[in-house]
Amino acid sequence: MTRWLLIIGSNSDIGIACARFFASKGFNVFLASRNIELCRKISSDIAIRYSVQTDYGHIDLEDTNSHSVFISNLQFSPDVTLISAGLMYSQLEAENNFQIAKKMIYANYLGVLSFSELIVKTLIKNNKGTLIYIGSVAGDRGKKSNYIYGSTKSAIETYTQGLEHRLNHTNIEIILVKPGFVDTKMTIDLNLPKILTAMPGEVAVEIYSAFINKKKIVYIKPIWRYIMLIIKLIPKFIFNKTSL
Amino acid sequence: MKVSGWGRYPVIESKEISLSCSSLWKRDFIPKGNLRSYGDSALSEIHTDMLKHNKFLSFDEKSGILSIEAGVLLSEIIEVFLPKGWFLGVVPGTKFITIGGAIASDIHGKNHHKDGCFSNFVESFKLQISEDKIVDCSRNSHLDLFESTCGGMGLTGIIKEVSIRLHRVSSKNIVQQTFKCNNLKETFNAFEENSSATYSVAWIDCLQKKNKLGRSLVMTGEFCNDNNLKLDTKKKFTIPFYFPSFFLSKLTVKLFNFLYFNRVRKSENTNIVDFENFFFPLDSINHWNKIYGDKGFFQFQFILPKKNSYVGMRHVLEVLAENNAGSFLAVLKLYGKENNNLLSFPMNGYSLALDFKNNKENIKLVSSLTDYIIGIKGRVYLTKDSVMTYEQFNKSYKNIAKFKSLREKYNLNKTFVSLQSKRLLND
Repeated sequence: MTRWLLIIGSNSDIGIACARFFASKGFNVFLASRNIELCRKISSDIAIRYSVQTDYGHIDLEDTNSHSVFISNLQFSPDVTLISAGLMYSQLEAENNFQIAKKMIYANYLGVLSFSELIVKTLIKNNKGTLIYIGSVAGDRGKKSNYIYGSTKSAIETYTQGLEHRLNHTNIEIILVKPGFVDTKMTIDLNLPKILTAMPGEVAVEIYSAFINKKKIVYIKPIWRYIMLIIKLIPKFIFNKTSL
Repeated sequence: MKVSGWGRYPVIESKEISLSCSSLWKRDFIPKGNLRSYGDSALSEIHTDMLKHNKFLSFDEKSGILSIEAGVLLSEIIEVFLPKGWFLGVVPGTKFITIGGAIASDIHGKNHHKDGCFSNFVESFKLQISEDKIVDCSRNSHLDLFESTCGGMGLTGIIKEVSIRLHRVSSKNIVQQTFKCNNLKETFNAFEENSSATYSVAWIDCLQKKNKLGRSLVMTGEFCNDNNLKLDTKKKFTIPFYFPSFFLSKLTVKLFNFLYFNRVRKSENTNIVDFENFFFPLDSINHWNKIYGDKGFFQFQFILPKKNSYVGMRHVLEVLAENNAGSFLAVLKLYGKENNNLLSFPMNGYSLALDFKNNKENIKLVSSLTDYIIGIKGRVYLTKDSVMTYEQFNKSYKNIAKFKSLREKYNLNKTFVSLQSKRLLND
């Protein structure tokens, strides 16, 4: 039986990489994002490469009113749903322009929450499915360099904790991915240290293996788990003096 | 970030700017693919990474025409299409190059004498020549840009979407015939006698002298008809670190060459080999370029018109043997007709490809060999070059004036600039 992967935010580099990797494992893929023309291209790329069924549709996470129509139009109940949509503006922009902060909160949290609550209802009906959310190491501890973005991601983490609790007696699995630095469109202008930076393809492999092995929280480069552990353990009176 | 070609010489600092970012167009830059050209043709202070543009766009089962973005690797095309019975018209010695790179180098393969260059299988492509201008290039549209871009080393714009023609094969295996040739005369004869073979190539033992000069194994190949299209998934071996630079000494090369030559016992031998072994023997070793040590190496590939080939090759091999500059891999090949592309390397004649460790003596040697080759109407392959001089280039490629004026006409010479174009075109 063929399984379907639904990707919300399929045009992100992580979205594309996951779409390809899951398709290479035999998944049919449904791509959804705001840019339908790019969805169409990625969809035919995957159909040619992997000879699987692909489809695509328009979704805007910020437009929460459209989510229920989108879900009722789906012709299948997704076996795996990956929400890889997300926005990252710099801390400075977000501090100085509330509209920017609001946009991030809408895309990264409110939109995800709205969509997620609706898709969970479908999954509960069928009592199956895996939901994959993209959190961030930036959500592990607030710091001056990116706490507005970070707070949207820690909201996701708290949300997934609660959702997991709620779905404990079902067959529905929840995975939270904390990618650390990834070499994507989002980060092209940052000078990222190579050793801490994953390629989107690596992220996809890790996400797939988390799905197969039913892992709950995934750090893509294991080193991030330790870095964030240390950052979390630094006492406040020292932490607040650092430039992190 | 640090970038270098496959020869790891030279290495430079280069900043990546995304193709979608308008700041890219404020200064000169070069599009970069998988950095498998050996020299400095994809090196510039600013580059845009085409590997990120790698979608398959469409495929027509009837005609075999495949449309892809330029950052797709040949290996990806083979992986998807060989199991379905389709193969690329031309493949070089590695499958880890992009389609854009294949066009920019107008690559050739073991079938050049029959099928010509990669551009023969290119139907059309979209070429971005400025921030807001993309033109369709084919034999019917913007022929001038088509003929200057195929083989144009990335200096005429950004190759974006490409349509190529695949052809039918019924196996992933190759029937390989090996001829053991004891000297250069026998080697040339083997090529001429087997000119009807689809694929042919010779490996030359450059350390041989006198009556053994030009000793070689000539290999020909045809796709098999055994209907076996199931690809193997082989584990690759990775060279873990830079070998100390004394690793490739005269002794080790001699040993390798001895084993390689004597592995074939009969003077003629037929066997069936996997396409990977036949076309891409070095692809099974990741980072094989590290065996030359951390100073890197350079490749040197030249071609001579047929009438001067025998005498010219003899002379070059004699010089190499005298200088004990024998290369690990020396590949000789017969080529077919020259095409119309302005900077394409092939011409009807023979080419020899050699590796040299990067050191002063070898650079000097290559420079004097280049002068000799140009003197007898030959030329050097730009994809493997990092040391040719402006004078040598301008003496050997006959369409340079045309190439320059075309770049000026479309205002490309201020935008698409590499270390190589600075060296060879005074950009």
